[in-house]
Amino acid sequence: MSTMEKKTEKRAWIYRWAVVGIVVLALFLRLYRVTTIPPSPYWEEAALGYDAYSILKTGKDYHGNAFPLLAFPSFGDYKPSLYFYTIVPFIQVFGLDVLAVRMPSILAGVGIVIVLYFLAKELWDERIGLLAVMFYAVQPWSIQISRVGFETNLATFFIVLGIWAMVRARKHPWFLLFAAVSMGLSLYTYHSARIVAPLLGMGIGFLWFKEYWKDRKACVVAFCTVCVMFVPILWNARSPIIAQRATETSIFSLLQPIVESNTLRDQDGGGVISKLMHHRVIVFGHLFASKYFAQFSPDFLFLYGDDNMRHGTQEFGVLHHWEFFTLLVGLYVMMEKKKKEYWLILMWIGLAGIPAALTTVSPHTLRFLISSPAFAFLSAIGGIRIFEGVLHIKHVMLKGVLFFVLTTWILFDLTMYLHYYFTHYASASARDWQFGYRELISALERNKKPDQKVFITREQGRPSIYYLFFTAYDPKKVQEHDRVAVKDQQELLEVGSYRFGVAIPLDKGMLVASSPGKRPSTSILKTSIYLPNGSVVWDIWEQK
Amino acid sequence: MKNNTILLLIILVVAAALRLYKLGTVPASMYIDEVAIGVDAKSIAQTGRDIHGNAWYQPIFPSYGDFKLPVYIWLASLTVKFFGATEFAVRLPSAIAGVISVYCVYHLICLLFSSHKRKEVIALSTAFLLAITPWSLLFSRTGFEGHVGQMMLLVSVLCAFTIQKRAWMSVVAGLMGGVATYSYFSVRFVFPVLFIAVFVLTFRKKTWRQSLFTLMLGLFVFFFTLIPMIRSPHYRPMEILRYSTKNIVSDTYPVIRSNELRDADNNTLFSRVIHHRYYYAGKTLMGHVGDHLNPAYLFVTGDKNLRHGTGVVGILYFSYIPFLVVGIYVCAKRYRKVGIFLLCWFIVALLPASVPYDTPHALRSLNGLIPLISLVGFGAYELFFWLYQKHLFVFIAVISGGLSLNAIFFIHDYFSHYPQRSAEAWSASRKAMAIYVRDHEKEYKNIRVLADERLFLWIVFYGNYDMRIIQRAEEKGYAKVAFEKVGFGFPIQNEFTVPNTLIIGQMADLNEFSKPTLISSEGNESLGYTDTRK
Repeated sequence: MSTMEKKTEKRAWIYRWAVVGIVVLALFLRLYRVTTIPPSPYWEEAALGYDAYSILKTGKDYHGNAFPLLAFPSFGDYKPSLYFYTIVPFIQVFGLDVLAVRMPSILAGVGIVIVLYFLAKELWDERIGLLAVMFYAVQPWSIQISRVGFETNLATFFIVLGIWAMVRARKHPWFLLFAAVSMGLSLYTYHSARIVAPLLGMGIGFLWFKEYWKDRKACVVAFCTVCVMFVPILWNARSPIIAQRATETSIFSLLQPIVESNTLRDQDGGGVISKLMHHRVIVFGHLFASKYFAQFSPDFLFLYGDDNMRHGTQEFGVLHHWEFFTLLVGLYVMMEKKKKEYWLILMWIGLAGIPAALTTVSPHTLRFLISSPAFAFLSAIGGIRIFEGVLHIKHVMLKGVLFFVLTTWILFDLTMYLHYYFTHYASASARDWQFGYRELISALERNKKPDQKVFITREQGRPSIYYLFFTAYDPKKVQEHDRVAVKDQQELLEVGSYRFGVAIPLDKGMLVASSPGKRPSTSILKTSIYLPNGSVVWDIWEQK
Repeated sequence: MKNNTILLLIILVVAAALRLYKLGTVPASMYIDEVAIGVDAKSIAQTGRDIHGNAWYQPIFPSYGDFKLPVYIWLASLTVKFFGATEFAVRLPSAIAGVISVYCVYHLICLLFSSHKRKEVIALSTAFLLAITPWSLLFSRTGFEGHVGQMMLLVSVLCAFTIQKRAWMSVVAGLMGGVATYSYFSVRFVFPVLFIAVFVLTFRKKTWRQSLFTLMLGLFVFFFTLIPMIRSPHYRPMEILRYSTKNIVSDTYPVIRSNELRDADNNTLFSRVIHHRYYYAGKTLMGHVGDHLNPAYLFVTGDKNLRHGTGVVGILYFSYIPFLVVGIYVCAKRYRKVGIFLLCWFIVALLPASVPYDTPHALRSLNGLIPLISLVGFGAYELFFWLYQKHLFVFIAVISGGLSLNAIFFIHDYFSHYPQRSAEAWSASRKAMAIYVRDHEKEYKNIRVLADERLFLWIVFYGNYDMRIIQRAEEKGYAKVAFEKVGFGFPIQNEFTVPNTLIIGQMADLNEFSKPTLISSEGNESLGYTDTRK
C-alpha cells in the first residue's frame, strides 16, 4: 500500500471510530436516568403503554379491538398505531413501565444519528457527516424528544431512513422500494408524517428523476408499494380514525377568518374585485403564512422553544445558541454552491414546516421535529466552512485564540444546557408531567380496604389510564366491561372498584383522592402526595 | 445620467402622492402625543410660546407631563402656521420627512456601492421600494417623532460620508446628529456608533491622522449639542419617566431567576458561574432583539399595535423575502464591508427598542428602516439582474406580479378597511367629543368635562381659543384644569344645579347623574354628554 492509501485508510478508521463514539454518547444522553428525567409518564405515554400491554397479553386493545391497523381509539383521539406495536417487545423485557414506553423513541433517536452519518456520506463526505452527527447527538430538540415516548421521533426516524434510501437509490434504484416501505411506515406512526412523507418523497423523486427513471421497474414497484400503503389511510380519510385529530387542531375549523372575510367584503360594498381580494382563501392563507413563518423565529429556535413544558426546557431553544451562526453560514454555503444536495435540505426543512402551520398552535416542537436532522446538517455545513475559514488565517496566534474561544463557547453552552436539563428540569416541569400519579396509585392500593370503593377526581386529567397502567390491570377484565362501562368519549370513568369523575360523591366510607384544598372537614386525611418542590399535588382521605 | 434624475423624480412623486393623499383623514384621528404636539404647535404659531408659557427655544417641552423633544414641535409649528391647526398640518412634517428619506436613500446607496457599475439602478430600486414599503408609509402618515428622527439620522450619515472630501462636514454631521437626537431620544445611542462605523468604512491608511481628527471633532460637536438638553430642569424627570415602563434594566427577573437556580444547586462555584444574572438579562435582551427578527413579524403580521401596523401585512412586503435573502448573500460574498456596516446600523437600531418589554416595536426600531431597505433594494436589483441574465423571465414576471399584488392589497386595505379597524387605537371618540364641544359651546354658560383630565388637549386643539388664555390657565401637574368656560375633573355637587351647563364624560359615569346621550363609542371608551337644561 502506498503512503496515500495508508493515510486515507487511517483517516477512514479514525472517522469510523469517532462516529461509534458519538453514537455511544447519543445513547448515553438519551438513556441516562430516562425514567426519572422527565419525572413521570404523561397521559399519552400511559395510554400508549397500557394499550401495548393489552396487545401483548390479549392481541386486542383495551376497548376490545383486535390488532388495529390504522389507529387505536384510546381516549377517543385515535392515535396512529405503529408506535404501540413497537412498545410491545419492550414490555416483554422491562415489564409495564415507563422505560418500555420510552425505548422506541430512545432507539429512534439513536437510529437517526446512525442514519445521518450514512446519509451525509451519500450526499457529501464524512467530515460533514461527523460534524452533523456530533451536532445531532447533543441537539436539545433531539434529546428532549428522544427521552419521551413521542411518536413523532419514530416517524422522523422512518422518514430519515427513507431519505437515505432514496439518496442511495440514485446509484442503486432498488433502494426506492426500501424508501417506499420506510416512508410508508411513517404514515402509520404520526399524523404530521402523512403530509410530509408523501410531499418529501415526491420532491426528492423530482430532484433526481433522471437517475431513478433509468430503472423503470424499480420506480413502478416502489410507487405501487407507496400506493398500497396509502390506500387504508385514504379509504378512511373522512372517518374519525384519521380525521379526528385534524378537525380538533386545524386552522380551517376556525370561524374567525370567515367572519373577517365577510366583514371586509361588506365594508367594500361587495363588488367582484372585493370578493376576490377578501376571499376566505386569502384570509386563511394569511393565517397559514403567519403560523408557518413563526416556526423560524429566533426566539423559538435558539432561546425559548415553545410554550409547552413537556416539549422543552423553556430555558433553552430547540437548537443551541451558537447554531444561529452556523446555520447562517450554512445557508450562505448553500446559496453559493447551488447543488441539488442543498436543495434537498431546503426542501426537507420547508416541507416539514407545513403540518404545524395548518394547526392553531405554532411553533410546535413535535410537529416540526421532522426537520431537526436537516438543521443539524445545515449547522454542520456552516461549521465546516467556519472551521476552514479559521484554518486559513495566517496569523498563528489569532488562529489559536479563535479556535480556543469558539470551542470554549460551544462546550460552555453545551454544559449549561446539559446541566439545566439533568439537574433542574425535572423538578421545574414535574406538574406538566403529571407527577404524582404513580405515588398516588400505590398509596391508594396500600390504604384501600378489601371492599372499599375508591374515587379519583379528573382535575389533573385521565386518572383511569394511570390506574390501569400502574397496577398493570388485567386487560381482559377491562375489555369485558368496555361496552357497558361509563365513559367520557372513550375515556373510562370506572374500573373495578375505582370511580373517576369531576364531582366528589358523598358516599360514606369511600376513599377519595383529589387535588389539595377540596377535603371536607368531616373526613379523615390518610396521606398526601408531594411534588419534588414540596407542594401538595394529591390529598387522600376517607369519607365519613 | 439624465434618465436617472427623471426616474428619481417619478419615484419622489409616487412617494409624495402615497404620503399626502388623504393625509390627516387616514388615519382618521390623532393619538394623544400627536394632539399634544398639535396643541404646543398651535400655541407657538400664535404666540411664540408653548401652552405653559415657556419660550419656544427650549430643549425639552413639558407638554402634558411626558416631556417631549423639540424638533417635531418646531416643524409642526411652521406647518400649523401655514395650514392651520388640522391633522394634516400636524402630520405634514412626517410626510415630508418620508419623501426626503426616499431622496436621501438614493444618495446613500450611490455612496455605499460607489464601486458598482450600476449603482444608480440599485439606488433607484431602493428608493422605489422605500417609497412603497409599509414600514415607511405607515409612519410617514402619522405624527411620530421617531420617523423624523430616523430621517435626520440618515442625513447625518450622508454628511459623514462626505467628510473624506470636505473635512468641515464632520461639524455638520455632528450637528445633524444632534438635531436627530433632539427629534427622537434613542438616537443618542445610535448616532455615535454609526458615525464611528462610517469612519471605519471610509478609512484610508494614508490620511489616518486627518480622519481621526474629523472623527473626534464630529463626536465632540455632537456631544456639545446635547448640553442644553442635559442642563434642562426637565431632563431628570424625562429620564425617570422613560425608565418607568417595564424594561430589562429595571426588571428583577434576572436576579430572582439567578438566585433560584443557584440555591437549587447549593451555591457551588460552578452554579454561580452558570446561573449568573447577566446571562438571564442578556438572554432576555437577545429574546427581544429576536422578536424583531421573527419572519412572521417582518413579512406577514407586523406590529400588533394598530397605531404601528395594519394587522394584515408585515413591516415589509411578503415579496421582499427573496430580495432580502439575496441582498444579504451578495453583500456577504462581494461587498463585505458594506454588509457589515448595514448590519451594524440595523442591530444598533434594534437595541434601544429591545430594552423595554413591549416587543417587537415597529416605532422604536424605526432607525433600522434604512439599513434593512438598503439590503432589500440591493437584493432586488441583484436578483432581477441574475434572472435577466439567465433568461428566467417567467420568474421576473411572477415576482413583480407578486410585489404589485402585495402593494395593491396593502394600499386598498389601508385606505378602505384600516380606518375602521383602528378607530379605537386612534382615539376616535375623543376627537368626536372635542368637535361636539366646539360646535355647541355657544349654547352653554359652563362646560364640565368629567373624564381623564388630558382630554383638555383635544378640546384645545379642535377649539378656537386664544392660546394666551390657555397659557395662563390653571394647571394640575402640567394638565390644564380650567380655562374660559371649560372645567375638568369631577365637580362639587352643586355644579349640577348651575343652569346652562354642558357635562361631558364616560357614559358609565354620566349614568349616575342623569340620562346621557352618546357622542361616540370606540372599544372601551364611550363618551357622552348631558346638560342641566334637561
